[in-house]
Amino acid sequence: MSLAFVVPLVHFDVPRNIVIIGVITGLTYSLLGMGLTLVYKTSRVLNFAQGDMGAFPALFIPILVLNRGWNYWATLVLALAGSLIVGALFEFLVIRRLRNTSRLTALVATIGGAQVLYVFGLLIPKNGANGSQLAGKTYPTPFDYKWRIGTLFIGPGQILILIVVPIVTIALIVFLRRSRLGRATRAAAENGEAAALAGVPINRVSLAMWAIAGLLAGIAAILVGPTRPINLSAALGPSLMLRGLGAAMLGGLLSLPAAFVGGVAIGVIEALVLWNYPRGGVLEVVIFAIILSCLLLRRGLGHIARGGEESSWSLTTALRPLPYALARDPIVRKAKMAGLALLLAIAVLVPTRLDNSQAFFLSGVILFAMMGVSLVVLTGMAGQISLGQLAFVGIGAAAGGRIYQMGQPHIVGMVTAAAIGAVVALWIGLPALRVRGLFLAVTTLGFAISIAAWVFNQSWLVHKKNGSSSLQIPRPKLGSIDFENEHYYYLLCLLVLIVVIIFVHRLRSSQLGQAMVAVRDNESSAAGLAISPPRTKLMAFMISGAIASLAGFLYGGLQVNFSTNPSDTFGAQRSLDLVVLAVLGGVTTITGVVVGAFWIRGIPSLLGSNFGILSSGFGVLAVLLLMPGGLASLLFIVRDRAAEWLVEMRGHRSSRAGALDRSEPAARSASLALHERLHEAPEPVVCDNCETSLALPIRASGISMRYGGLQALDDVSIHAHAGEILGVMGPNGAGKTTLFDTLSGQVRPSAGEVYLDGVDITRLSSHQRARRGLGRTFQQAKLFDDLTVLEALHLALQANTPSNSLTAMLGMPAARRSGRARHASAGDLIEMLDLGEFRHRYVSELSTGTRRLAELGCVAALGAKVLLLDEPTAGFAHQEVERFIDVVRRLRAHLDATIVVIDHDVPMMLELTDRLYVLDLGVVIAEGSPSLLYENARVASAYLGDAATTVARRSDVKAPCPPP
Amino acid sequence: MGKAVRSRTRVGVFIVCALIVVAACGSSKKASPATTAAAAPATTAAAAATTAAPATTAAAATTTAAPASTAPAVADTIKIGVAVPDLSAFEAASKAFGVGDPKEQATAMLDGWKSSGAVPVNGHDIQFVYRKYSVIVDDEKLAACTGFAQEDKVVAVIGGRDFGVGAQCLAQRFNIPTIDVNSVPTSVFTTNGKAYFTLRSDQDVLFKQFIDWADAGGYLKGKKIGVAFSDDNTEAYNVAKAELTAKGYTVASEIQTTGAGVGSDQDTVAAQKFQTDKADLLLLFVGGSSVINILSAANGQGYTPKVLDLDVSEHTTDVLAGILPAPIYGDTLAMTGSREGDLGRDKKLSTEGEKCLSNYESFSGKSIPRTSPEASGEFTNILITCDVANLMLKAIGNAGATIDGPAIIKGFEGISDMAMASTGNVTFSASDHWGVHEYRTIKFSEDCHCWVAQDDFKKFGS
Repeated sequence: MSLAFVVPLVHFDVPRNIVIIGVITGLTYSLLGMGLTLVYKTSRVLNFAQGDMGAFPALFIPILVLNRGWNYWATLVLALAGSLIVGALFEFLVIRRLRNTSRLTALVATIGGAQVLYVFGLLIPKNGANGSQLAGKTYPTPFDYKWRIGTLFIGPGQILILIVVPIVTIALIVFLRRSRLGRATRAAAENGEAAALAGVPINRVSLAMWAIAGLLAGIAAILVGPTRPINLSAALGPSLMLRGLGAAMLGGLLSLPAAFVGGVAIGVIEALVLWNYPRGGVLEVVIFAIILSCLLLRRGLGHIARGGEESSWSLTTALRPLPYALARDPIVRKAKMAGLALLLAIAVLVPTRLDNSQAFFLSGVILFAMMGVSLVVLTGMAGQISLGQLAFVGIGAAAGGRIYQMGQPHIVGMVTAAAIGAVVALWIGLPALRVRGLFLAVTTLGFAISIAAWVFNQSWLVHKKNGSSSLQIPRPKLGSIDFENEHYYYLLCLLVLIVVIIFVHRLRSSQLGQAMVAVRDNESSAAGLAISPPRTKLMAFMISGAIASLAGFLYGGLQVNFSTNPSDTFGAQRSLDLVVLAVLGGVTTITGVVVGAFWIRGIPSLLGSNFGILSSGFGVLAVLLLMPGGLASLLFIVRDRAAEWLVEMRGHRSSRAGALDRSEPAARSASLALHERLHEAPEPVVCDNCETSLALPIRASGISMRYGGLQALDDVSIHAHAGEILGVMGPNGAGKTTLFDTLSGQVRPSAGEVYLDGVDITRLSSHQRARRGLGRTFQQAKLFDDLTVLEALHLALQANTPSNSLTAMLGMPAARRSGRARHASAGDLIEMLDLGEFRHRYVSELSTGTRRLAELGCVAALGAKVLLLDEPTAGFAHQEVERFIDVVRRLRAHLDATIVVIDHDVPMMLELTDRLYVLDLGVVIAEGSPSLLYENARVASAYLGDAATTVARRSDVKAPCPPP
Repeated sequence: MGKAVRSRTRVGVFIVCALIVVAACGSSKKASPATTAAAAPATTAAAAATTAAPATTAAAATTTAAPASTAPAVADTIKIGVAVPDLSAFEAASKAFGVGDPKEQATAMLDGWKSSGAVPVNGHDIQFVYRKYSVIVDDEKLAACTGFAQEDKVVAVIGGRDFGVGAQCLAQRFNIPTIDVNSVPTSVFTTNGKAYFTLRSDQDVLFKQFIDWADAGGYLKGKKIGVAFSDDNTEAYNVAKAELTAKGYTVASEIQTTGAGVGSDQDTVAAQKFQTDKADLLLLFVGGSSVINILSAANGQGYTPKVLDLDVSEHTTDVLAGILPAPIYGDTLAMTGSREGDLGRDKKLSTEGEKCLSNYESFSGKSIPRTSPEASGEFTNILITCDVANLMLKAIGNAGATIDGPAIIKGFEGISDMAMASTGNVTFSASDHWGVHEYRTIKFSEDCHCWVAQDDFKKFGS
């Protein structure tokens, strides 16, 4: 019986039998998805070994039952116990040791783990005592019985899936809701640190959840076994992972019931698509579209993706250049140049001693290093995860080949390939504006799979004509140099790699590169400095896509004739290999990915299979456990020690102060002039009709904000006069930060308008507001961990004096002039804020107080006319508060700005502010001079409390100072 | 500071350029013979004789006046590349999938030729140069190609199982005559040019012949045809479909699968589709696992369509017969160009097959069972190695006194109706660079779990 409905112009059949088959298949995806969810909840790890953790132990059932004659049930118990142990061991030996590293590192470790399990699976002897083999036999089942549903017979394997998966799901959900371990798991999932402080044994919880995830994987493998020929190895490809991940993602990686439903939904849709459109590649495209649509459309998911993943995906193992003082030392600079020259000499000369096939492999290493550099831009600098980078490589190769086929010269093909790669990357980068972290990773994985399955098989791209296809790129000739020679081609690839490396190196120190790092480290703060996160992310995607496609064009020449199997050559598995390469080497540095390329691609190719173990899953795990920052972290330690040793050997005492003295005379003289203006504080200009005045620097009218059932703000109207320091106070939960969020554009209010200098900015994004002169600091004062104070100030200054990134990277005179001007202005600010000794320190190395000063400096550098300071003295010592008040007043004078401050420090607010608003439960309960804190009974009650002791203590607070 | 950076950059650029120029000069000296190898292989052969010729060759070269009956005159030694497949990844899964020691199998051939006096041929001694490749790593195949062409400077190459892109690289990039094993579509022949040969048939021609065979046998008459095909076989399937249409048949049910997913889900849907569309004859142009999946799923529904099979994805040319589900696959008919079916019918190998295995056994000291079904990949690979090696020897023999690429290509094109150990007779011509031009009917026997030959080989088109 077939239930059919007709969409206009499209007949889409929904046969019941196909739905049932889809449900059965989908249930197996559900198990995979739930295992992924469980692991993610406790460890924030995307476990690419999830399938293999079960497939390996499940292999023992056919081996022992069919070949050795063991009892099925005993073997079943053993296999399930085995999968439980595999999960627990993986957590204990690998994941626990990587807990404090980047989540990307942990993800790569799971890929390494999957490879290890695959090898173990291969090594198991599969022949019986009498020489009997498994091939051709059926995976054992406990019974041989069929059900009939309508016209469909359901075999024993499928019956088991239908019965066991829902039971396991319900049992798991009940267990997690009712048991102590389950409650502990939920607590750990919500907030690991808080749970640990509350006595939850995090390690034990994590171990238990990984063990359960292993068990789920084992159950899945055992259930899937009878539905196909016996799988003689444990390898499960990215296509299956995508389906499991899709199920998990639809549940937001947090909900088991949703993962269950998501898996079934994907299974059913997959079966129906295959039924209605039985053509290769369509299925992959549809699955990608479904996952992408769900991620983009589900509001809850968007929220999780934007907020929840921020910290867990930060690249905590970011590697840094030499400390400034060391790097400036002449002997270190000479040694660096000599080292680079030596490396270059080795790269150029050593291959001449290799034979042609080794040179071929080396060209492959070079091109994979170039692909890795594309990940340095995207992941290392901009913090965007891509598991589908080889798709861009393939696009570059195919597009370049097509251009060449149309009769264009190589250089045109090369440039066009890079341009097309950039455009496609721009398109795939669009979801990154809404989803991030794991969600973006899955999106890019789906993209890679669908591109490989569908696009690379399209005749308009492959275009076979007169015995050639676009997927052939003959190598170029340059005069008498024929690049058919492997050594010449290697040199060409090396030259392009060097150019790309120089480009990316300069990009890192350019405005755009610093903006990428800023967006990666702290998107909100970056937007507060007038940096457009969407534009920055898309630029990162475009540059990365262009580099990958350029590498693809050259890789096409290396492959010569790869039309045979593009789905493999540029498939998702290769993309995962590239991520492994980059993370193993160190994805935040160019050195890292080059070393990673040599380790993963070079060792097995050039040194032979005896050394292959180093680059295998075992090698990957070993390196990551020893050096979570990647191989480059070891090199960087050696580099730093060598530099220190060199300086000591020459008797140099490098001092940061000395370095400062040499480099900043202009900044000092400029700062003296600045000091003269410091105390010329303007008097606030008071308006006549403040509620509607267009002359006000900042005005919010009737702002309401609702989060679900919570009314965070209710019809709030505030305004500040020009030059005023306005305070906003209120108890925790009053809505102060939400008010700032609506003013600065972090969130859009449910109702009401925000005006800046009389212009309605309600619909503008935060970076657009920043560009119009609205600056903001944040409670956390995180700023940008991996920028120095000087770099952060430069970045902020660029909002007013933007320079073209390309001209900056090319070192053009105009860009250099503009850079010098920014440098002088940054020097002024550093001097004014007394940050001289910290100018070359990374923000993450600063104390809270210094970090807040740096953040203020950035807002000042922005040239903001309205400053919103959110709890700026939180965590300050008393002396620091005094200093801070002085700095804020100086800033007001320097910028001629209006300042709005949120803080709980009553004495500070009394001393600093001209006027106050007090909020409680999302409503303005009072407005007036700071003294209203004492004069207004409602304020006193709401903010200071009614307890007798509090009232008594109030009398100790010093009287309010008059406004300056 | 700016000046320092600029001067540093200039010095860096200068060093890069200087090193690249130095390296280019250095590598041109080393690598230039590789480019001449393709253009003037005669020089290569001479160079090979001076650099790598075995002592016996040198000795032979000094005795050119000796009577031909006692010591054949040897003008030079030609290098033939032998691509050695590494199937250890599959062998780890099942020993049956292993191919033994392909290098030893090829060496046994050369040894046999020398013992029998077949070499030297036309005054040319033959030296084999081996390069190993993993059948699942394309880069290794391409590296083998580069090594053969630019390092070893071979004059021709004997391909191995699934050498694929390696063989295509040799023929297309370096114009080195290469005899590969696997069946490929017409477009691949067109792309790779004149130097590319395969033992097995052109896939497009094979699929067309398959339809003609089925039509001639009356197997299609009155049947509702269901087809499953994989991405790899799309081009050939389109040819088959056109031939079906030309013969007046229509495809009632059609599905293309990718092999993704948990395993059998797509194949289960395919079986459902066939059943719903009431297809009673299936043409399964998909991998072995999918064949098993589709038929098992169909059988599970009580749906038992007939199947017609052919030489696609090693259904009828390798060890797959050993794992096909006998109760479901029993009595299935297939069209094959391979000699699988000899053992099932005659309980013995063909003359060429026996000669091949005996030679290997005497060289290696191993014993290879002649049992049906063909129980190991080693058995099949020894036969295939014999065939491609013998084709190369014949081509060299046909080439005459001057050995170079074009001469060997001519030599291949002159091979006609040559008996093979693993397949029907092989014929090449200037227009056909694919070997097997014969087919016969085989039937799957549930009793022996093997293919049984039903008739003798016939020419394509007959």
